[in-house]
Amino acid sequence: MPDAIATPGNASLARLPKALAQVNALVLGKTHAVRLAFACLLAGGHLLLEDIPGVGKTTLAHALAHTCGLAYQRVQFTSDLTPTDIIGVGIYEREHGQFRFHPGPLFTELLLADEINRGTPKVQSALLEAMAESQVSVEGETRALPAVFTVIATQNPLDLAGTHPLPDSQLDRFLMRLSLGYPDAAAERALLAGEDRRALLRELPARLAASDLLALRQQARAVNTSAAVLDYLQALLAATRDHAEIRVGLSPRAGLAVLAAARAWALLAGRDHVMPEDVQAVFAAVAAHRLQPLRNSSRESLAAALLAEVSVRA
Amino acid sequence: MSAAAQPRPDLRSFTLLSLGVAAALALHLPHLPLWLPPPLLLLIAWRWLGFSRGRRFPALLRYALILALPLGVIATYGTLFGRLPGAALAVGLLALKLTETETRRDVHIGVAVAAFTLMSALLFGQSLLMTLLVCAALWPLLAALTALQPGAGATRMLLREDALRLALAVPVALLAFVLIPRLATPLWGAPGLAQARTGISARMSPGAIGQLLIDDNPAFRVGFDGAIPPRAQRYFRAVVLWHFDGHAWTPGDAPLPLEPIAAQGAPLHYTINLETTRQTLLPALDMPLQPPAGTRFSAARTLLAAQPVDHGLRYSVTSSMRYVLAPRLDAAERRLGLQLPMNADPRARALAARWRQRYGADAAAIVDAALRMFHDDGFRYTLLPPPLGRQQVDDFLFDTRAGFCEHYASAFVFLMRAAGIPARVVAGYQGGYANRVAGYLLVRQSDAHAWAEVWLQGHGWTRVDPTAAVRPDRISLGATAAAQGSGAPWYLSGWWLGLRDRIDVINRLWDQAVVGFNALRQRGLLARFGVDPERWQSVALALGGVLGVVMAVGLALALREPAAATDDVLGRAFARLERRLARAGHRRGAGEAPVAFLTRVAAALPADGAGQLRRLSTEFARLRYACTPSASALAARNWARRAREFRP
Amino acid sequence: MSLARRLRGLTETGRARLLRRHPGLLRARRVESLPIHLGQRRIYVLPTGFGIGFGAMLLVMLLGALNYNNNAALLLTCLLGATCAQSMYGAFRALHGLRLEAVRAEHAEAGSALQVALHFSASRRARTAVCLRLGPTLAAFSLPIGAPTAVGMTLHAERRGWQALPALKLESTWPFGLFRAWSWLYPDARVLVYPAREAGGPAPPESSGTDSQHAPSHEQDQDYAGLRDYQPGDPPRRIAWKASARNDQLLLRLHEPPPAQSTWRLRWHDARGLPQEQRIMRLARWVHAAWRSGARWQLELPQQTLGPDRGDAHYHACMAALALLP
Repeated sequence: MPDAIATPGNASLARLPKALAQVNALVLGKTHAVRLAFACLLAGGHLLLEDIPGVGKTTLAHALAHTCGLAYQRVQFTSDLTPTDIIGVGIYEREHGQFRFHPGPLFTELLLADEINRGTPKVQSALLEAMAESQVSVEGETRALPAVFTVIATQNPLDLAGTHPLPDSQLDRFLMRLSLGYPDAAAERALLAGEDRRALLRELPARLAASDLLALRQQARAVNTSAAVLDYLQALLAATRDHAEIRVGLSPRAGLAVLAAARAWALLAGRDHVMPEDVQAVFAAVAAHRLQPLRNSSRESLAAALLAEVSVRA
Repeated sequence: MSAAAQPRPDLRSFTLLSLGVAAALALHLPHLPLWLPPPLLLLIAWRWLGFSRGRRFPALLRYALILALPLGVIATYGTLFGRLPGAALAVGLLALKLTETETRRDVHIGVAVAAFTLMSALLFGQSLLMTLLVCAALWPLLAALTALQPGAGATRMLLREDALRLALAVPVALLAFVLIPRLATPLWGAPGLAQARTGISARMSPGAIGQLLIDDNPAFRVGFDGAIPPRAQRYFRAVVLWHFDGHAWTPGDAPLPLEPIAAQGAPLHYTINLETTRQTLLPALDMPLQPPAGTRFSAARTLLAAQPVDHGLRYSVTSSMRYVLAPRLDAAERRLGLQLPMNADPRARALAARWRQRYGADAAAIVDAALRMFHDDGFRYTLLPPPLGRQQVDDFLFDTRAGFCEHYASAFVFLMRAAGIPARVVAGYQGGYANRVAGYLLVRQSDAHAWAEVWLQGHGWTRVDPTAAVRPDRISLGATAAAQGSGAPWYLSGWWLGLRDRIDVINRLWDQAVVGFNALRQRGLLARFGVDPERWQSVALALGGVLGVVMAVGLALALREPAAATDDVLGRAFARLERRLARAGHRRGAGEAPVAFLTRVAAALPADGAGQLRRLSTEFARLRYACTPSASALAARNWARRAREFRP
Repeated sequence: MSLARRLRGLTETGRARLLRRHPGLLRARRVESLPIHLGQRRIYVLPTGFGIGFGAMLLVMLLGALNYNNNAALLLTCLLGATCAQSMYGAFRALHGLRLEAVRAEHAEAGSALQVALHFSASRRARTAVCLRLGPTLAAFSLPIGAPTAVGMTLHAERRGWQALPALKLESTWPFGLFRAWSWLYPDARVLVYPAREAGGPAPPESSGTDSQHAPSHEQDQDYAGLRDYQPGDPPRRIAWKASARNDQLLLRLHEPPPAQSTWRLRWHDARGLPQEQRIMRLARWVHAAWRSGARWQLELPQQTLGPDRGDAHYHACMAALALLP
């Protein structure tokens, strides 16, 4: 019911469907993942894309950045990357007779951190700290990052040699972890027949602006969550804590993350209130990477099992 | 406690109290003297208006009224004591209590007095309707008490809650009603009961039966073992009147032997449920053969109870419709049957002498002549006859020629006796109304009747109904219809009669189950549950036990806190819908969200049901997830109703 | 046998158990920590005066109905009696399950009125017509479902220092006023009463120590922010004489920001020569004056020194210290 939403951000909201459609046109056959990625952006969270190379992770990241009208920087993480490479350094300038700070690629609206697990733990933790605090301290001075600052990181799950997998505690910094998977047959066929996606990207207009995104985040925070939804979410969280297959259940912060994502998902659906369906839609993406399974079972299947087990009280 | 020490009760409470007082006044209306209700009603209205404007009632006027009330009652009844003066006084004082109601305490007293006055209304009649009305009048009184409480809610809610409390009290009240031990003998004299006689009495003075003819209350009900006999044969004799003093007929006090009877037709068995009469006369269909247990026969075969019927009576009788009563007349009876007051009514005597000359000893011919006269000579049947002078019979026969059964019976018997034929007046009931619903005969007080019996050689005492000669339809239709002057009026037909039948059945049940529930019946009931009514310990144990159980149940209910879910109208309604859908084969998965479930089921339904279910689903989502729970209580109930109406 | 004798007769453990189970039995002066839950054991129910009178009337009605063998009247009496008996349960239910969640009090000075707010909540049921009796005052309130309700009461603050809350009596005669249910509460809550301020007396020695910074010329440089009524203890040099002359009353200049440089030193021994309580009252007045003027001040007491600082927190700290002086 779109008429239920009566806030100043309506204009931004009206632009959302076109933005979604544009990204879907670029990343074929991944509507659910695209929608989740948008929800992640609207919830003000960082996104981790985890998949094998070549399925369109980077395309998705670029498409998102471009469509949302955000200034973006791309950093390829390698083992010799140092924190100053991304944060920036102060350089003494003789003509002014003082140090001047040269900001690194971090100072942008959207940072695309490619193959983040190839970076050293030092670099990783510098980035993750910036993600958590939305500011960086350089040489004793605190520098704020742009208000919409968002990181989209990618990593390759199969690549094991010479990588530094993100520790579980750090994974928590990402609101969502998504895998794209192979495209289905029709999408792949269209992909093969079509133009180069990156080239296509440059021709398409930006559908949103940073200010729109801020307004939409504001609106997403205002989406109503009823007691029934909170009860359901709490039941889900509780279920993770005494589940036979799970070593450590979800933290309250994880619960807040699910809620924020569910609100954004509801906003994407044009609703001013969250429903249990919204929680279910985002649960796997938000919660799976925060679960620590007892045995070698897949986190995604655990999340799905939880959803199937915990009953939704009417 | 001074008036200043307490805050004035709020208008709402006062209004409710005024309503209760007005109700008490209305329920006493039938037996209040005519001059009392209008000023009282005016007083209540005036006081209410004054109170609503924050004014006090002038104290002097109040004192004047308090003085005037008993004076008025004494002027009307001659005394302050007794039922009627007492009721007038109580109602008057209750209304006056309103004028000095200024504090919460006054409202308390007002409510108590009003409750007492309401109860006293039941002393005048215990009908079902009256009892229900009196119980309903408790409602505003209780609500007045509740409205006094600080922070009492909206009036509508308050009235609803108090109605619920009254309803909740009904089962407990019934239990107490059954168990409270009845008094076998009254603790103190029950004044005024003697005045309350109803029905045919053993004295027929002018207008005595006329009073009854306008009384529509049931006199008794008869259940026949076989078919109900035709109307023209339904003469219920209650008393035989021998003695005429020129003014009134009385049974006379000469001891007579029981008249022998020779029954000719098949005996007829029936059971009579007599209403309370406070007399010993028991009506029985002409002609009873044996007195039932506990009763006896008078000489002229009317039934007499050993004690006045104070709480109704049920008795079974066998009668014969064809009989010869007293084939031989003994001398004492003949003398009584020919008795006439001295020097009264010379014109009637002269007329009888002329008949005697003309027909000689042919008694049947004389009877015939008298009936022909009633039929042909301009006699009228009316319930409002012109007044008669000292020579009652002469005035009636030769001047007014208008009257009802008692006039005709009286004049006829007088003429017969003057002509030398032994005759007597029989008073009782005639006709009755056959209830088609329950198959019994309802006889009302308005069916009271008087007729004559003449002794004919070879036939014994033979019933002659002179009223029938004037108005045959009095016998075939009933007094009321006869008085109307035409056939059955419009309101005595169709559904109205059916409704009246049903109401009468309910009234009979009420009378039997509640009004007639006396010490004897209580014993019978208690004994059935193993309580020995003779030992008071046993009764006390039963009463205490039941009281204890009731208290415990009350306490358990009081301690019960509603579970969180019970406030959740929407959740429960959804669960009901879910169960119904499950019965129809649509089960919700463990992790399936409610709206997703309804959407899925809707997809599997035909278009009509699907649309309905989709609307329900949309509305559910809005109520459940978009609104705050308290704001949408009404909408939730609305949804629950629509979910109930949904047929998968 | 009286209750007290019976209690004495019990063994020590027995008495303790009895009091634990029936905390309202004696006015067990044991304070209870919040929140206090009203369970069934501490709620007592007895008929009110009206209830006894009404009961007597019901008895008369009963006897009358029985005597006249009037079953309809008997039925009416039974119905009225059964309805009125519900008053007992109604009163009980009005209190049962109620919780006193919190007690909050405003700060008050000795001798003035003390505002206390008691926060009640009801579990799952709405309550109507609950009365709270605290000392001589009475407040009636209703509780909606779920929402806590604050009931305000006014007490008299007698002396400076900690003042314990007197015993609270919660009662209800809902719905007919025939039965009263009540329960005593002894919440573990106390209120700090500030000392009363002296009515008159010398002005505070405000500028001691930092007098030189407080030049009049400097003051006139500051932003002029408005006027307010002069109160005893205000610094005389900030009186707006011209404006006061026009208004027939003394007015004070207000400045924005407040004069940062002035620090008032309020010393215990500056008020020497007075009895203890008088001394405290004078210092209280000085602290109040300093607070009102927006200045920085320092309070030197025999055992401690507060400040220098300014603002509400400092004011309350100083008043609390004064209130708790021996």
